[in-house]
Amino acid sequence: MDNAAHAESLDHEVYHTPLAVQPEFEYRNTPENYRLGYVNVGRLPDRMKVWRVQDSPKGNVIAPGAGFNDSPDAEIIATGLNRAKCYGDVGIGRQGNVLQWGYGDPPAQMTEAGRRLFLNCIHYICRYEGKPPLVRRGNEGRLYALRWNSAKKSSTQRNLVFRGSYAQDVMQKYRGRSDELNGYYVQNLEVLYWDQGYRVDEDLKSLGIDSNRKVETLERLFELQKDPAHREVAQRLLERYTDGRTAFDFQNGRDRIYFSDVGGYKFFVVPQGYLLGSPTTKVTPP
Amino acid sequence: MIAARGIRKTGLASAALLLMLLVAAWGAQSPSAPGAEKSKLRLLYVGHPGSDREKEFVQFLGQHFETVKTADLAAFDRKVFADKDMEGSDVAILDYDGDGFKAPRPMLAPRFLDNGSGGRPFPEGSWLTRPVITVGVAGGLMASQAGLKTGYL
Repeated sequence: MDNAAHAESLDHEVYHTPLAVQPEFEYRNTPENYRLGYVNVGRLPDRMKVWRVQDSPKGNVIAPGAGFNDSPDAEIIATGLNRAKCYGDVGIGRQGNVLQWGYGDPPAQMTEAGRRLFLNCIHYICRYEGKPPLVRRGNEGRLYALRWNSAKKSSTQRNLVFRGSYAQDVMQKYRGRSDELNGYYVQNLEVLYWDQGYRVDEDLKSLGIDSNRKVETLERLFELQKDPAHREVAQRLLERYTDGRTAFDFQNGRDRIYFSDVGGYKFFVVPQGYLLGSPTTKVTPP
Repeated sequence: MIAARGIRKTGLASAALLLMLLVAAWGAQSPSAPGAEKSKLRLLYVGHPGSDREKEFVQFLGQHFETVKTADLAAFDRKVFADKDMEGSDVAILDYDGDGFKAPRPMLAPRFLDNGSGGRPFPEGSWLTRPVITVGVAGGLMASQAGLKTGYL
C-alpha cells in the first residue's frame, strides 16, 4: 500500500471526534491494477483524489476490501491507495474489538491529519470493549472473482494466475477465454458462491431466484422446503447457505439477518444488542 | 482628526484581540498544543523495548494520554495475547519496528460469535475481547492469523 488514502468518504465520525482531521488532498495517477476487476458503472478516472497519511510509500499493508462490510461487525475507515491489489482494499479497518492501522510509519513521519486520525482511532476503538467479531474470515468476497476483468472490451488477458480461485471444471470450460469467464461471473455476480472455487449457483437460478444474499431468498427457500416439487433443491440450498443450527426469525428479527461471503457464503443472525452504539455512517467501498 | 485617530486605535486593538483569539483557537485544535487536556484513557503500547520506534510512539502518545505503559511484543511471540495481558489499560496498541514479517507474532483469539473459533484449541482465559489496535505489517499478520477481515491481503 502506498502512503495515502482515498478521499471518497470522510463522513465517518472518526474523522471528526475528538479531533478534526483535515486532510490535504492531492491527485495522483490511477494505478493500472485498479482497472482489473473494476466493474462499477463508467470508467475509472485517470487521476484520483487522495490524501497523504504518512511519508513512506512502502512497508504498509492492506486488507481485502471485497466483502469487508458484509457483516455488521466490520467497517472500513480508509481505503488505501495501492499499486498491486484492488481499488477499495482496506488501509484502516475495524472488525469487532480490533482495529488495524495498515500504515507503517511512526508518528513523526505521519502527516498532521494522519496523527489526528490515529489518535481518534484510539478513542474510537474503546467503544468496542466487549464487542468481539461475528464472523471469521474463511473466504474471499465474490468481487474477487472479477479481479482480472479488463477495462477494455475484448482485450486479451494474460493467463489466470490465481487458479485456486476458480473451480477447475469452470476453468476447463473457459480455458483460453478469460474474457468470457469474467463476463460469466459479472452476469451472475448475485448468485456466486464458493465451492472449491467460485461457482454460479445454477440450483438457485433453477428456482427463479436471482440472488443468494437477500433475506427474501432465505425466506423463500424455507417456504420451498415445504413444497414437494422443490423440496430437494431447497434443502440442498439451505444446507449450502446456512450452518444448520441458526434459527431465523423473519417476523421479529428480520433486520438482524445478514449474509456474509467472507464468513462462508452463509446467512447469520446478529446477536441481540450487538449493534447498540454503532456509528450510522460507514465508509462504503467503491 | 482626533476622533479618526481614536477610531483607528480602537480598530487596531480589536484586530489584535481577534488575532489572539484566532491563534488560541487554532492552538486548541492542534494535537500538540501545550497545556491541552490529556485523555484519561489508559494505553498499553506493546512493541520493541528500547527501540527508537517505541520511544517515538510513547512520547507522542504521552502528549495526549495521561497513562501510557509499555510491554514487550516479543514476550507474546507465538503465545496468546489476551484480555488479562492488558489489565489496567483501556486500549492496547500492538506494534513493532523493522521488517514486519520478522516481528514477533502474538496469537490473538477473538471470540467470533457467529461462526465460532474454527476449532482452535485456545486454553481457558485466552479470549481477546478488549479494544486493540494492530499496526502495520506486523499488525496485519497478527490479524490474518486470527482470522480477522483486517488481516494482511
